[in-house]
Amino acid sequence: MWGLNMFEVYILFNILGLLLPLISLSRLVTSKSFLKIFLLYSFVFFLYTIFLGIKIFINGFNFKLIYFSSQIFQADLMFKMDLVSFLFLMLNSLIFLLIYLFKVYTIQEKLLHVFLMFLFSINNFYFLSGDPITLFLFWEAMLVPTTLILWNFSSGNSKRNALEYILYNFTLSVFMLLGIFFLLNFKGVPGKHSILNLATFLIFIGIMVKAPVFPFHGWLENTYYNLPSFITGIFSAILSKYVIYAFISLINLTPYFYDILVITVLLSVIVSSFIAISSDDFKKILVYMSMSHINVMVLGLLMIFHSPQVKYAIIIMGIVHGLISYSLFLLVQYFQELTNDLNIKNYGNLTVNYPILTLTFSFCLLTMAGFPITAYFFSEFYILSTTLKYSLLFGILLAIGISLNLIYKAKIFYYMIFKKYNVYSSLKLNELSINYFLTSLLLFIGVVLLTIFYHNILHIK
Amino acid sequence: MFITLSDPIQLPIFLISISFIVFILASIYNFSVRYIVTLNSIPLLIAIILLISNIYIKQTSYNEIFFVSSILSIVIYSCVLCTIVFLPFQLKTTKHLNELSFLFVLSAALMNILLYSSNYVYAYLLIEAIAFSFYIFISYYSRTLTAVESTIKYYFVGNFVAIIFLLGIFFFYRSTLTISFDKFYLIQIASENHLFLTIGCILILTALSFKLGAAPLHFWVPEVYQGTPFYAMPIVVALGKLTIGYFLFYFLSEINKYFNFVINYAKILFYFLAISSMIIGNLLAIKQKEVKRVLAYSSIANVGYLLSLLTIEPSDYVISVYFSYLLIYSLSVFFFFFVLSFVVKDKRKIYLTFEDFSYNLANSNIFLIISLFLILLNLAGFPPTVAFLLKLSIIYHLVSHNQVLLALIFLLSTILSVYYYWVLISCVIKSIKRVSVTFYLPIQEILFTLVVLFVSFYFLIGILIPNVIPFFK
Repeated sequence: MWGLNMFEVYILFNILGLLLPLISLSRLVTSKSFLKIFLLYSFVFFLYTIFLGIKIFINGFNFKLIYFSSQIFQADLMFKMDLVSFLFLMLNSLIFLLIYLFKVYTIQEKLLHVFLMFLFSINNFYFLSGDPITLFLFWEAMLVPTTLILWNFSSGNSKRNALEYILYNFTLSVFMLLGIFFLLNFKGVPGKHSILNLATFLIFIGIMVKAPVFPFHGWLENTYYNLPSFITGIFSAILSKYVIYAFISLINLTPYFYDILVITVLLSVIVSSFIAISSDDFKKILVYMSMSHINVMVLGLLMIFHSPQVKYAIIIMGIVHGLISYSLFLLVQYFQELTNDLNIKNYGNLTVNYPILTLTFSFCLLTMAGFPITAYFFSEFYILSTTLKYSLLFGILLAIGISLNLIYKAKIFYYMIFKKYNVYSSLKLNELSINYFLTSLLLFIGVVLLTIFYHNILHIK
Repeated sequence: MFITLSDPIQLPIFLISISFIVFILASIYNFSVRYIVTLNSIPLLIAIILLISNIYIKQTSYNEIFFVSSILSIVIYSCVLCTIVFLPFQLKTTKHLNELSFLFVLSAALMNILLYSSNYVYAYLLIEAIAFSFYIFISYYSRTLTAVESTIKYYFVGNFVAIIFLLGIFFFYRSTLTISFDKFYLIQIASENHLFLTIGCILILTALSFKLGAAPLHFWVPEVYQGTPFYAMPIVVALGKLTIGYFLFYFLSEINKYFNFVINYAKILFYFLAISSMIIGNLLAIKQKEVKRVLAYSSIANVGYLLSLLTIEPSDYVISVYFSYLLIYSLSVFFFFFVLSFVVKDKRKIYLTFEDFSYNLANSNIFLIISLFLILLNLAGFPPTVAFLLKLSIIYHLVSHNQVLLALIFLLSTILSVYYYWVLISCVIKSIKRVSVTFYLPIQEILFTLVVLFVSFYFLIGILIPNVIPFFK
C-alpha cells in the first residue's frame, strides 16, 4: 500500500489510534458513537495482529522497522514484532475489545474513553518497541494516561492516589534509565562486565516498582483498590505485564546482588499472600493476589539465567494471568454494582442460588490457584522446579509462598460459595448476566487455547 | 538583490526600516488595525522565505553554526510574525498597536543580528538594545504596581549585568587586544595575561548566565515574570532566552577552540550553576500558587538542565542536543504564553491563580485546551513528547562523559518537577470537563487555533519521527 510494507502500515495504524481519541471531543461524536468507532478500530487492529501473527508462526520471520538511526544514542530506534510481542499484543487488544464490548457502553464519560484509548495505543507501542530507548519512552508514557485516569476517576482521595502512583513509578524508574544508559554505553566494551551487572541491577529496580515487589509496593493498594474494578482489571492484566516484556528485552546478564534479589522477590510472594489472607475484602484480596502472582513470575524471570526455556513459560503464565484476573475483576465489578458490598463474609450459598455465577467464579479461582491441566499450572510448576534446581532453600520458600496463596483462595471458596445462614448480600445478587458470562467464556477459550498450544509455543525456535 | 538582502545583517536592517516607515505613516494617517498588521507582517514573511532559500543556496558550504543560527532566525521571525498577526486580540485596546508592533519587529531584528555577531562589544550593545524594547513591553500596563516594580527590577538587573559584561570585556581586551571572535586564531597570549583572560571570560559567562536566570543569580526572574503582561510574555521570556542561550554557547565554543586553559574554570562555574539551578528551581516551584511564578521557577530549572551540558566536552552531538533542547524549550514556553495571552479574558491581568487559569481555559475552545495540554506535557518533559527524548539525550551525554552525579541530580530534580507540572495539567483537564464544545468560532480564533494545534502536534509526532526535530541526530 503506497510503497509501505505491512508492518509500516501497522505502525501507522497504531499512530492513528493515538490521535483518534481527539475526535471524541467533538459534540457530534457522542459517547455511543465513539464506542462504535473504537470497537471498529480495535477489531481491525485485532485482526491485523492475528494476520501478522500467522506470518510469524508459519514463516517464522520477525518484523522490524527502524524509524530513526540516532547518532547521539549510537543506536537504532526501532519497532519490532516477534512471538513475544505478538502474544502481549493479542492480550492487550483482546482485553480492550472485551471491555468495550461488555462494560464501557454504560459509561457516558467521554474523557474516560479518551484516556483508555490513549492507554491502548501506548500499550501497543510498548509491546512493539525494539530497543531500550523506545521501550523506556513508552514505559514512562504509560504513566500519563493512567495517572489521568486515577486523578479523575478513582474513589477516595483521588489526587493523592494519582500523585502517589506517579511519584513512586517516576522516581524509581530513574534507576532504570541510568541502567539503560550504562547498558548502551558499555555494551561490548571489554572489561566492563561488572558495570553491566550493575546496569541490570538498576534496571531491575525499575521492574520491582512496576511489578510491584515487596519494599516498593506502597502505591499498589491505593491505586488498584480505588479504581473502578474493570479498570483495575486492565492494570492487573496488562500493565503489570510490562515487567515481563522489559525483563526479556533488557536483561541478559545476572544482576548484582542476585541472591538478595531472589530472596526479596520470594519474601514479596509470602508477604503479599499474608496480606491477602488477613483481609476480608474481596477486591483487596484480588489486588494482593495479583501482586503475589506477578512476583512468582518475576522470580521465574530471575531463573531465566539457569533455564532459558522458562522464558516462554512465563509469558504464557502472564497471559493466562491477564485473562483470568481481568475476568475476576469483572466479577468484582458485577458484585459491586449489585450489592455495593465487598466483604466476603456477607456472601454465601452461591452454588445453590446462582450456578452459572459459581461456575465462572470457581473456574477463575481454580485456574489462578494453579489447578492442573491449565497452562497456568504448567508454568507455575516449571518455575518451581527450576527454582528447586537452583537452590533447595529458595524452592522450599517458593513452595510455601504458593501454598499460602492457596489459603486465601480456599477462604474465598469457603465464605462465598458454600452454604451459610444469615447472608445479606447474596440475596441482592442476580444470576450472571449474559454479557459477563460471554466475556468470561471468551477469556476461558483463550486459556484453553493457550493450554493446548502450550508446548508448541514453548519449543518454538 | 535578493542574495544581498538575504545577508543576515542586511535583512534585519531592511525589516527595521520598513517597519519604521509603517510606524511613521501609521502615526500620521491613523491607519486602521488591519493595515498596520498587514504592512508589518508582509516583510517578516519575506524575511522568512529569504532565510529558507538562503539555507538551500548555501547548502554546499555547509557550516554547523551558520545552519543553527539560520534556523533560529527563522524561528524568531515566525514567532514574531505570529505575535504581530494576533496582537490585536491580545491587547485590551488597539490604541498602541502601531508602536508595539514596531517594537516587536525591532527586537526581532536585533535578536537576529545578535545571532550572527562575532564581536563581543557589538553583542553587548545588542543585548542592551533588545532589553530596551523589553522595558517598554513589561511596563505597558504601568498602572499596576507590580508591573512598575518588575520593570524597575529588570532595568536594574540589566544594568548590573551590563557592568559585569563591560568589566569582562575590559579584562578580555586587555589580554587579547581584539574585540572580534574572528581574530582569535591570530592571538598568542603571554602567560602573564592568562589570569586576566580567565577573569574576563568568567565575568562575561556570569553576565550571560545572569541574563538566562540561572540560580543563584535567579532572584529577579520570578518578579519579572510576575509583572510582565501576558501579550509580551512569549517574546520577553522565550525568545530572549533563545538568543542569549545561543550566544552563550557560541562564545564558549570560540573560547574552547582558542583559549583552552579557560575552559576548566568555566566548567566549574557551570557545574555549580547547573546543580544550584536544578535544585533551587524545582524545589521553589513546588510552593508556588500562581501560574507565572511556577513557569518562572521551572525556567530556572530548565536553564540548569541546559547548563549541565556545558560541563562536558563540547562535541558535535553536544552542540546538537544543546540547540535542540534550547529551541524546543523556547518554543514550548513561547506557545504556552501565546495561548494564555489569547485565552485570558482580562488582558491587564497580572496574577493568574490555578483556579483562574482553569476558569479562563474553560471559556475558550476545546482545541486550544488540547494543544495547551500537549504543550504542557512537552514543557514538563513527559513522554510521548519531543522534550522527553531530548532530556534523555542530555542525561545520556552526562552518563557517557562520567558525570553520573550531575545526571543523578538532574533525574531527581525532574521528579520534583512532576508535581508542579501535574498541578498545571490537572487545571487543564478540569477545564476540558467544563468547556462547551463548539465549531462555530470567529475566523481569527480558528486561525490561532490552527497555528497552535500544528505546533502542539509537532511536539507529539516528533517523538516518532525524530528527523523533524531541528539539529537532532
